[in-house]
Amino acid sequence: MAPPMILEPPFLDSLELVYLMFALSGFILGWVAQRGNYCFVNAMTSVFTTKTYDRFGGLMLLFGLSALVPGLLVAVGVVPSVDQYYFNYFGGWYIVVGAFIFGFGAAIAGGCNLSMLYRAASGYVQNWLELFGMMVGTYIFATLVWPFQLSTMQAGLLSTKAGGYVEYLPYDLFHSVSGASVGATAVLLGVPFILFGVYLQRRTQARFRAMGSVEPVRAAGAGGVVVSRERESTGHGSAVKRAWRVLTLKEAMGTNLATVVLFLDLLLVFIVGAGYTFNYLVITSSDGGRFLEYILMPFGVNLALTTSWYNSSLPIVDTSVLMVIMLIVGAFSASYLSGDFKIRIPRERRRLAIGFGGGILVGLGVRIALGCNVGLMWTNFAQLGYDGLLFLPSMLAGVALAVKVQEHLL
Amino acid sequence: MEKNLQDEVVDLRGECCPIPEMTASKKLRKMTPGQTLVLLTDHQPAVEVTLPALAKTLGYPISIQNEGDVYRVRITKR
Repeated sequence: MAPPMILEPPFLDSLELVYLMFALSGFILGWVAQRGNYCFVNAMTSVFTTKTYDRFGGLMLLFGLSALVPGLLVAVGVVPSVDQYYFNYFGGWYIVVGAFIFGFGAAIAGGCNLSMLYRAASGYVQNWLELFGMMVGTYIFATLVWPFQLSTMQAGLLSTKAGGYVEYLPYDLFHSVSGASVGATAVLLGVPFILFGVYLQRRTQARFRAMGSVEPVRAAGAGGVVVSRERESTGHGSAVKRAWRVLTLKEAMGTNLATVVLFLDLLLVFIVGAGYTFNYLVITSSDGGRFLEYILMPFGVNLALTTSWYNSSLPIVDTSVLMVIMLIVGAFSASYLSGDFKIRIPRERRRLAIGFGGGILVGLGVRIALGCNVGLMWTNFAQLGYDGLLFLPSMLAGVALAVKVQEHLL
Repeated sequence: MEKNLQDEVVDLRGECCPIPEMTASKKLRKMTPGQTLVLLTDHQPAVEVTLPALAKTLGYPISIQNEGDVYRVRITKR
């Protein structure tokens, strides 16, 4: 018998509470990503540019924790399994192709879907243009790619014909959605990622030590001393001082602190939103792309009436849109209050064109992949699906190619 | 010889990752030992993470000066 496909709210939340939690979650996401300089693309480019793996290791920790803990919560019955797999969507060739295009475009444009939004909120004009490019990319997808892609999805051509439990690893591995199978899958998926993340970070630290690297010398200027988050703590007093500096916005959050807070943020919506809505963190690339639809409406152009993807896409007012709006508010607040906000225009004007062009590829890529690095890749680890496992290496390959291309452009 | 040891200044204001570290990496490859690369940037992740990481990887000394709305990052090639 097939597993159920009806959501089961485990808690008697009011809708007001659900919306409030998603708003809070979006604010935390924007704030922490901005203060932690958290960017999936940068974590990947650093593997190729500076040959350092600590931030990529942070990403592996994030994915591992996101698979392990929600999985264990389902395993012990806190959240019903159906609430974990219900929103798994189709998987297939388009995730591999889309993630590659997305990775390439995001690395060229200078930001993944998360960093594009928080950097745009911090005053980076290039990322504003990336957002506009994403709208154009979404339109290109909707008119040229989606009809073909949909036909392959309906035919099951290198694609699943459904989502939900079909893409749920416990069901795929054990043909069961019981607590035992979910728990075992969570451990099998989450623990290797956590161990790999720890290994990458230790490897980078050991390499620095072996090279006898010296910490940066930082001279106080008009704005005070810049303190590196790379610096290692030297004792309890140092940790307390650093925590104070982070809290008072004088110092950026370290990679691992930001990783843990972002993971807890995901856990918040996973629990509160269970059974009510899409209970994961989302960077609604679909809604970001659909902004073009709303921009054109005052001019009498209604894409929803002429282009099927716009017509059949998500509604504008839901918890995920609220989350994105609050993400921007959180990022702007963090940027402004820390003194980092500034309208930044690259001296080299062609960077603006590259940002726009990269944004087009970002829009095209995320729509082909059916989601971005947060809404699909990271989220899918918490859904115990396999789309994230397809997305990760494809995006990494796209980033690697972009680094090669940019080396020639510079 | 004196000409080779002159600082090379690159204005990266407005640029975000990965441009600062990639530019620095490419410039440093072409420079001679003893020469200093001076980068002007207003991108905090470059100051806090990527440029120090690049310098550590290469084993080059780095200093960072906050000059109000811009950071002056100096990396000396060994």
